[in-house]
Amino acid sequence: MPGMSSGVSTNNPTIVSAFRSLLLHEALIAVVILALLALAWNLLRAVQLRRARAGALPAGAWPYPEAAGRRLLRIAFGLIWIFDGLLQAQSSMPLGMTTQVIEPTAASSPVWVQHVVNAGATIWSNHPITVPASAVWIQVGLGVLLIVAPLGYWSRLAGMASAFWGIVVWTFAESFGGVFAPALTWAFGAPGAVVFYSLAGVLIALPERTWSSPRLGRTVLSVMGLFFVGMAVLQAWPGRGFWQGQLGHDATPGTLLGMVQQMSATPQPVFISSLLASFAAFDAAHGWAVNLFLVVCLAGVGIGLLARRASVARVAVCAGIVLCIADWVLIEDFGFFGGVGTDPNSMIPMSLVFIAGYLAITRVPAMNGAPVAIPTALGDGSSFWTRLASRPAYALRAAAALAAIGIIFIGVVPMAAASMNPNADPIIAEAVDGPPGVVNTAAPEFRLVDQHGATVSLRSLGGKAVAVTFLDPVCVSDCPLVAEEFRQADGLLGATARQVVLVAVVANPVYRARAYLVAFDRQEGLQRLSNWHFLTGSGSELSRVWNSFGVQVAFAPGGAMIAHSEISYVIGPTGHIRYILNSNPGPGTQASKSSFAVVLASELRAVLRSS
Amino acid sequence: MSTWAQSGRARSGSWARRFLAEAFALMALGALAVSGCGATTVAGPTARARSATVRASLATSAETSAGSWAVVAMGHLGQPLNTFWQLFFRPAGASAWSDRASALAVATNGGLIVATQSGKSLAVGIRSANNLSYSPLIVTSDARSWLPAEPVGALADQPDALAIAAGGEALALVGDGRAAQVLVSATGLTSWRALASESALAASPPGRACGIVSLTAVGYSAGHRLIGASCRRGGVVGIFTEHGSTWRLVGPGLLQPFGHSSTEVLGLQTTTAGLCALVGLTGRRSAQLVAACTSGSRLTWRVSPALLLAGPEGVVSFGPVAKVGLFALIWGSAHPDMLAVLGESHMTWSTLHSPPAQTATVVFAPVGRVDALVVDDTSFTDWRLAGGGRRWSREQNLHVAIQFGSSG
Repeated sequence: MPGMSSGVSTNNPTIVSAFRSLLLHEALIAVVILALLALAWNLLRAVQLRRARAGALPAGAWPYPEAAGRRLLRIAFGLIWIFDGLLQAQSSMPLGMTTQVIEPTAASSPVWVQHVVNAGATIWSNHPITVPASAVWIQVGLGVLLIVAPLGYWSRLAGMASAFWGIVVWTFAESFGGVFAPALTWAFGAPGAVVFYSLAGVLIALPERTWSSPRLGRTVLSVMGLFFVGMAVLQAWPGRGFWQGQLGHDATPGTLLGMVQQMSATPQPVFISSLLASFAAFDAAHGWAVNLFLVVCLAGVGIGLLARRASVARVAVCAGIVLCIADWVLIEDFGFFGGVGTDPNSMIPMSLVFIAGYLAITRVPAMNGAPVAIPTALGDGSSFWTRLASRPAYALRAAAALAAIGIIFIGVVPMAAASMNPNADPIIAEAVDGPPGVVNTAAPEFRLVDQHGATVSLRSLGGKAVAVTFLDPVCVSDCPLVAEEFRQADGLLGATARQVVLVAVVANPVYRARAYLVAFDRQEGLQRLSNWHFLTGSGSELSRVWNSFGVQVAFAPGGAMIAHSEISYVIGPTGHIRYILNSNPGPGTQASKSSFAVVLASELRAVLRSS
Repeated sequence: MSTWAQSGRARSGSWARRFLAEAFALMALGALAVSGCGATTVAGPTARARSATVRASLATSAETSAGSWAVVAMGHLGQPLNTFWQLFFRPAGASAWSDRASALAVATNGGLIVATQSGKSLAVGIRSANNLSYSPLIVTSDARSWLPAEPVGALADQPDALAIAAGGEALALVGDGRAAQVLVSATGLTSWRALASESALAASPPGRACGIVSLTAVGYSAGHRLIGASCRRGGVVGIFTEHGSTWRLVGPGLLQPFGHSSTEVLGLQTTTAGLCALVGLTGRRSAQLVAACTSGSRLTWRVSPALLLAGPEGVVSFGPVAKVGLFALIWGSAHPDMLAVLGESHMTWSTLHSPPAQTATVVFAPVGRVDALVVDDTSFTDWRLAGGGRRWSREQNLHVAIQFGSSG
């Protein structure tokens, strides 16, 4: 999965600090939005008070009640989205999300899932500051919007947005909730927490009148009932490692035990990890009984939810809640410990959905009286502007909803821009090698032979921007990556590449024959670049150039490759060195290579502009 | 208490409920089917019995006029980029080994392939690894000065992927799978050109007669260019030689009880008298080794008795034994390791005293000295066969300064 990671360590201080800084700046924008809307609301209040004094204000507040189940979903999932947004603000999220959350789930999924997930992970890896910060604001904004918009178009819009964003997260961050992975099980959170966010979003987005009949609740409970029964069958399926606490003579942990042990090892308060360790010990000793209990409970809850009597459904709902909480504590480990938890996992959202389904059949608005016309989109028959000008509560909610939408856009706009930019953020290169050194000194002259046998000197390249680096043509790790970065930089320069020359000097005293330069160029696809020169010369000529550019080249013991300095110079058209780059390519991922290429291209452009 | 039946719309919506219920049931079944597709069986303690196999190790030894050479893998052998192949050298007449891997000036993670030109010089091919996709070649005649030759495509993971004739012509087996090719250089390991490809050879009548699985070795015998292969067809030894613009299958046919065994030419070793092919025979229950040697220009083969491997999986390190034939050091699932020498004059195997544990290869020096080279991580130990061939005595221990993590 080539795009899955930027390869930089999770707690890289450059990335963490840039992430915090961007969050702070965006928070300031959010504050400005809130301030402007507060101002607008105050103006509205002034209008309302004036109209009230003039006797033009109609009586009454919000006229229609919201169904209890819908309110539960809206407020609870609003809070959960806000909580998830705050989790996204953890400092480990920019670099840990792909390696510690997405990749492990995707790794056990089929190849086509990995391809789909990789597309999203590539965007995240290429933009490790913008995208995580955007996710924070989108989720916080969604949560606020759900909470402040109880009914009407905006409320339904919040539901739709929640459903849509949930699907995005489920697909790209949760790898379809792992439903295509072999260890699919209810106990580990299948089919993924965000599926329930989306389901709740769809239910909230339904027309309000849908909630005036118990049919919706019955449908929800039926779906959940079938889901629980299906999960019971899957849990009971033999050969998946759930019926044994430990496998074989070497006591390999069974599937459930392995997960619990893994969760107990994540950083968290001691009393929680010891609770998990105790459960792990119990499962190790009584794996068969634990699984049997789980199967029976899942089947029982499922059948109960499918039952037609509300009293049976109530028992099933209560049992389901207890079961979900037990699983949440003992197996899912609350879902968000360890530094890269992105949500509280599936048990709480799942419970909320079936509780809402139960409330939808037992607490239907105005069930005992004559059918009430559920308000049309905006809550009553009056126009939006009338209500805005006349009802303080409506105006407040409208202002709050606008603020929430503004917060969502703080995330959506940069994320959309990042998604359309195929090049990685230069911050990755800076995180690996630090910022480029800015100098203005005369570059040492050199006169060597290129891969075609032509003599090339710095003077002969006068009038062009020159990037010089030092490569070992038989290097197995870094040099091919640096060469790829140069090739990518050439592509980024477009027509400007005609004013740029890319130069590499051989950094191996043994393999310096032109046949090796040609082989290396062919390996890296550099033979297609007309402005690429891979230079060589006699041992003494090369030594002179290495020394003049401060490059160390040495034989290494034990079958290791030649050791040499990894450094690049950007030389202006006047023959002066303007930038010195540490060219250690770091992890050599797609993101890091692209980032280096962006940095190199921008510096070459800069020296051309300044000449 | 409210129940679902209390809904005033229950009756009128009965068809819709049935439809929904059926739809959800189908969805649930679909979900279960999907889940079932994703489900896998946890491997049990017993696995289905597989065919016995034998494969060649790149660890080997060679002799040149300058001295003895040995190729062994060291470092963390479970991690490809922390496995570093070392080239040890012992000057003729000396008793101590030294590591010459740093003279190669390239990372050796992929392995080393050595070939000698009539014992005068040693050519070393460095197999590609990590981001390097071709193989550098380097030659020495005195172990002090090294001259790089023209690189070739990625040398195959076979100990005899490189061969040099007495006149200086060379063959290289590069690539793998159907992309495998044999390249030829007229002289001096330069100007490589394609000689044969696995796909073309497999599609030819002699290739079909063998049922080529893969190309495995190259060599020379009395001026003939030879290509070794593994054959699917039982009892057929896949050795091909060039005949005009085509290739002929010239390997010996194996009689019963090997007639049903699939074969793999593990190596084509030049010996004092000619050339010996070491052939692995893969059967259902056991793997065996036979050697087939030829000494004349007519490629007439004499086949040795089979050497039965004690376990189902074996690895063999082999190399030349001057004026005798070749050796085969076999290890794998059977213990202790077995060291056998083929005398090509009588085509018989003789077994030597079991070498020390973790012996990577053996060196038979022209003076009659036999050394077992034992490696463990960064430690290299030379054990010499002493006491009239009844015991191994420790001669030398070297620590190799391996730079772990240097290859990526």
